[in-house]
Formats: sequence, C-alpha cells, structure tokens
Amino acid sequence: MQKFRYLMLARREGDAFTLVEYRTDLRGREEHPQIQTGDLIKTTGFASMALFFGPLEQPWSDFRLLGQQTIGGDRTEAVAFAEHIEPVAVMGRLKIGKASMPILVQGVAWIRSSDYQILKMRTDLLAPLPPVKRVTTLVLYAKNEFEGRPTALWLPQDVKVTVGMGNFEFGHRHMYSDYRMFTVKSVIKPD
Amino acid sequence: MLRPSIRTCLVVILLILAAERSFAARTETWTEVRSPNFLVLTDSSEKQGRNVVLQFELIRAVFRQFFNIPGAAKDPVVTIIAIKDEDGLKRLMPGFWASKGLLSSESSLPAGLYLAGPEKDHIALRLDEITDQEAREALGRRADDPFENVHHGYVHFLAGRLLSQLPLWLVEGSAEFFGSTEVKGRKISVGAPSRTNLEVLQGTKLLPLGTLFAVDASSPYYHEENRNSIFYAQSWLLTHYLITRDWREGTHRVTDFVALLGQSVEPEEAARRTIGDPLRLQKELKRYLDRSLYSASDLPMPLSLDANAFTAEPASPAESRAVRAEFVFAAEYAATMAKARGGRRDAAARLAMAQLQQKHQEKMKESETSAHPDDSERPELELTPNMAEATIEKGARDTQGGKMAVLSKAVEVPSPTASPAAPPVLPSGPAVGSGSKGGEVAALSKTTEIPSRTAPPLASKLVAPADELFFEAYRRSDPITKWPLKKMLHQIPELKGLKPATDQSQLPEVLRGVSENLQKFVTDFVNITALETIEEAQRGGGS
Repeated sequence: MQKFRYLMLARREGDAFTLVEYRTDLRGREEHPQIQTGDLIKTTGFASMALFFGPLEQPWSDFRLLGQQTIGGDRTEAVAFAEHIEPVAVMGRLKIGKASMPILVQGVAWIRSSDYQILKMRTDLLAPLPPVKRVTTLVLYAKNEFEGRPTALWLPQDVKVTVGMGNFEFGHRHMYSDYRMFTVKSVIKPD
Repeated sequence: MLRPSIRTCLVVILLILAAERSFAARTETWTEVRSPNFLVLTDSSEKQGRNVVLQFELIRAVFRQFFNIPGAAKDPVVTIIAIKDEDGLKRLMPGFWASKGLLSSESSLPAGLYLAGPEKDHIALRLDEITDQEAREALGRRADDPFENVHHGYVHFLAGRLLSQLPLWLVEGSAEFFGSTEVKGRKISVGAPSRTNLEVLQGTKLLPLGTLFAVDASSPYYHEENRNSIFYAQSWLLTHYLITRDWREGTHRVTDFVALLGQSVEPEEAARRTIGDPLRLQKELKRYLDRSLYSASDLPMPLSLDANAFTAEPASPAESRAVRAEFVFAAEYAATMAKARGGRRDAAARLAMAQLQQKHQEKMKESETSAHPDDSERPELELTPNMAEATIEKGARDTQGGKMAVLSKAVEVPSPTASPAAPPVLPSGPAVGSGSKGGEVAALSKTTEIPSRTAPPLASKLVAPADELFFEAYRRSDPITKWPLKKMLHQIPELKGLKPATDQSQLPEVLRGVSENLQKFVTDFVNITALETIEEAQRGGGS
C-alpha cells in the first residue's frame, strides 16, 4: 500500500478547459517512476471520466438507457455509452514504452434519478488492443463541499482498475480522502 | 461564464507490466548490459551480455566508418533481449509464437527476431545458437551466422538513417554485407559470404545491372520476407565487390555514389560518375563471381570498442519485467503491422504505413540535427525503470489541424467538422447515438449549435497516422450499446439488480440533466488535492 497526494488542476485558456490529474509523494515531489518499484499499475484521470457525458462529448458517443437500479439507497438510471469509432472521438492514448494506441472506451454510468448526478461509472476498452486485452475502470464518486465554493463537486472516492495483458491480469484500488482546495503561488527570485 | 468548448482530461495509467504469468512464478536472474547504443537484458551470463553488445556495436561501427557517418549522429537505443535457450524465448511471448504455429514440439523457434518499431527497435536472441555454432565450427563445419536475419534487420535500421533514397540493392546488399561482421580474435571479419547467397548465385543467372538498379519495394524481385532470391544474392555480391574494391584500392567510390544520390543525381548517372559504368560493372561482377574472389575482409578492432567498457548490473525484477513487457508489446505491434501489410494491401493501409515510415524518418532526422558534437562520447539515451510504463493520456478531442486531416484520408473517415457520423447539432441536453438500433433511442427534442472544435492550446497529440490499425480493431468491436440485455447482465456484474428499461423515452432527459451537472462541474472546478491510497487489488493470470 502506498500513499500519495493526488492533484487535480484546472487549466483554462480561452474557451479551453483542461483537467490535469497527477500525483506527488507526500512531500509534494512529483511522482517518480522509481518509486513505483514493485507496483503494477497506477492510474489517474478519474475526476475527468464523467466528462464522457458532458455536453461537448455526448455527440461522440452512443447512449442507451439500460434501466433503473438502486445503489446505496439511491435510485439510479443505468446508462450505457460507447464512443464512436472515429478519430475525433479519441480522448486518450495507451502508451507502453514509446509505442502507443488510441483509446476508445465504452461503459455504464449510474446516474441518480433525483438530480442526475453520476454516482458510479465503469469504462472498458471498446475492443481489445493486443496485447492489451482489457482495461476496466470502476469509479465511485462522492460529494465534496469546499469552503467558499457555491456548489459541491462530485469527485472520485474509490476506484478499481483492472488490466489484462497477455495472460496476465492485475489491478489496483485507489482510495481518496482529505480533499482540499489549493492554490499555487510562484515567486521569481532575481539572481 | 466559461464555455467549455473543449474539455481536456488527462488520464495516465502507469504499468510496470508483467508480460507473462510464468515470469512471476520463476526466480530468474537478469542482467542488464548497456552501451551507448544498446540495452541488453539477459538471463545468461554478464559475459555473454557484453559479447552481444560488442557484436552489434561492431556492426554499427564498421557501417558508420565506411559511410563516413559523423560520430555525433545519434541512433536510438535498440533493446536486445538475449535469452539463454529456446524455452526462455518461448516463455517470453508464448502467444506470439503460438499465433505463428511455432509452439509445437516439432517446430523450433528462430535464433533471433528483429522487430522494427515506429519509435524504437527490439531484438530477441537465443544464446544457445551461439554455442551450437561454435560447436559446429570446432568440428570444422562451415556454419552460417545464426543471427544473419537479425543482423540484416539491424543494418536496415542503420541504412535507413543514412539516406532515405538509398537504392534498394545497396540497402539490401549492405544489410547482407555488414550483417556478417564478427569478432575474430583481435580483429573483426566483414563480408563473409552466406551459403544461401552463394547457392542462389551459383544456380541463377545474374540480373542485368539496369534491372537490379530499378528494383524497388513494389518489384516482384523484392520479398523482404523471403530473401532466397537472386535480387538479394546479387545485391550482396555487387555491394561486396564495390566495398572491398574501395578498401583494397583506398578509394571512396561507394560513398561518392551515395553522396551524388543525396544530391538527387539519377542513379545510373551517379553510378557512371563513381562506381562505374553499369555495362562494364556487369562484366567485372561476373568475373568476381566466377573466380570466387569474394571473401571476408579482416579489419582492425576499433579502439573505441571494448566489451569491458560497457556497464553491467543485475536488473531488478521490476525493471527486467518492464523491459520484457515492452518487448512483448513490440512483437505484438510488429505482428499487427505485418498483418496490415500482408492482408490489407488497400490504399488506406499503404498510406498509413507510408505515413508511419515518414514519421519515423522525420524523427530520425530530428534526432540527428539535434545531436550534440560531444554526444558520441556519452550514452545517447538514459533508460529508466519505467521503460515499459503504459500510459493512457486522455486529452481533448481536437482536430489537431493537418495531422487529423491526414489521418482522415488514411482511414477514410471524413474530417471531424464534416463527419456525417457526427450529429449536425449539439444537444443542449440529451444526445442520441448514431449507432443505436432503430427505435431504441428517442430523437432529440431540443438542440443548439455545435461550438467550433478547433484545437485547444493545451491539446496533446491524440491521433497518429499509424492508428488506422487500431481503428480496425475498434471497428470489429461489438459496442455495449448494442448488446442484448442478457449479455449485458453477464458481462457487467455491477448491473445486478437492474430493472430493465422498457423504452428509451427517459434517456434524453437523463442525458440533459447530467450534461448540465457537468457544465457546472467544469465552471466551478478549482484546483484540488486529495490523499490517495493505492493498494494492489489483485494479481494473477491464466495459463
């Protein structure tokens, strides 16, 4: 088991919004590959995952209402989605070494019926990309309120990632707590 | 209010990959030997690892010396996995061999494998083949180089970086000629004829040199997969004759020839001005063959090469696993590309391949022009334990300007702005999928204009020309939105307890609602940090 600080940075340039997610060690040093020794998998990007259902992304997926399901006492609408198979739909790449593959996904979101909040989401590759057979991500979201902010943000609380590679399958569980807002100040010091 | 016209999210998955289950179950010791141009990972002795590096460094040194390539010109590091024996090579990637029908008890694996990748090349070698070859030679039997194909592949790599328009006969001839470089005591031997080439030459009439010079990749004479042909044998013979003539006479006609080609002089004219008139050359070549004048040349060992100067250290389990996983991926990648070359010779596939090669060459040129004068003296690529990290980068769905346009041409997908698959309007609320079965998904009732989808400043490159192969895989997919309910419930265990929808009438409202929530999410999002705890959830594999 390892602990990190997980950062989600909003970057806005003009109309563009970027959500950058990465981790540091507990002293704030950006995660170095060497500290992964012995680990199999680490994943980021769960806060962004719900954006498949965002207004700009919806046109690039097909959707299907599967039905209703109760999750933790909440009635939810289970909605399946599958990204269109075209370049514009690509939102990411899977890289192994210097080789990489475009990622297209499909999955299911469990959306609370009362306020249309995504409570849970699962994504899978749209098709296996040999030797990668499977990348399954299951995210549970929880409400987080921040002082001085008008609205609460729904952010990942518990994430399970399973990767099938060749004959091997392995996975990690990511748990998030102690959410805080933060700002970055930089000072330019003269020589 | 910020209008989220483009949203970029970033997802990174870092994997230190376990290539095969068998690795986890075994306690193997791996050693890494590094030189400026090679990383060798071996389960054999450090000495054998050093010898492997030396062999390839020699080929590189002799090739570059002959073609006067400056020491500062960099080559990407090639990764070599040197496996003790055939069983080890089988364990490295059983799926790959099985797909080629080479895992049965009657078949044996090749002595080596050269994998040319879009970014990086990989080699696998069976070291037991060296022992066998030494044993055969000790018994006085002529033994062909077991790694002939691998050396050939590596010289291709070097030749490709020399000059993009090198004539094919010289590329293949050089690959055959320099690929035979080997250590002989304190000297190196270059140009030993291969038995295969001699057999072909003795049984086949030489091609007119005009014909040989005109062979290109589309020619029936050219079969990279099967090199037992007069084209390869005669290319080797001509290259052998020309290079050894230059060595013998202290001339540099071949490099002058290459230089003229680099100045776009027509090949036959360049030949007349340097290596000789083709008609006269033809006669000289015939005499060279008939009198068996071809033989290996001995050269002094380059002073800069010393097997003891390479660094060697035990590889950590994670690092060795990472290197092997990267190799397995490279093999699968190469197989996919080969399938595209062999099975789909349509225009789109060829274009995608050409673009991939162009990209590769551009990268090579970039690395050459950025080479520092002192680079020849230091390692050219630091290899870190995350070599086999797998990363998923998610970014904006953007058009990436011309890059995307090129891809659209390659895969015959209309450009994003004109895509008929894209809805003509952006829903302010719910959207419907174009691939839904008739009647299952309700049509939109309310729409707004599509915001422009220009590339955002922060967008990363998400689509590459070579992606067509992966899009092929995706096109064969069976999307979840079309699954029968029974399959859905079986494949997605999280759906247990689902009360199936009787129709899709509620979908637009649900999508509209979640869309509005996400609009707020983007608008209100602030920089956030959290404590993250990661634990390994599971680990295992099938047999």
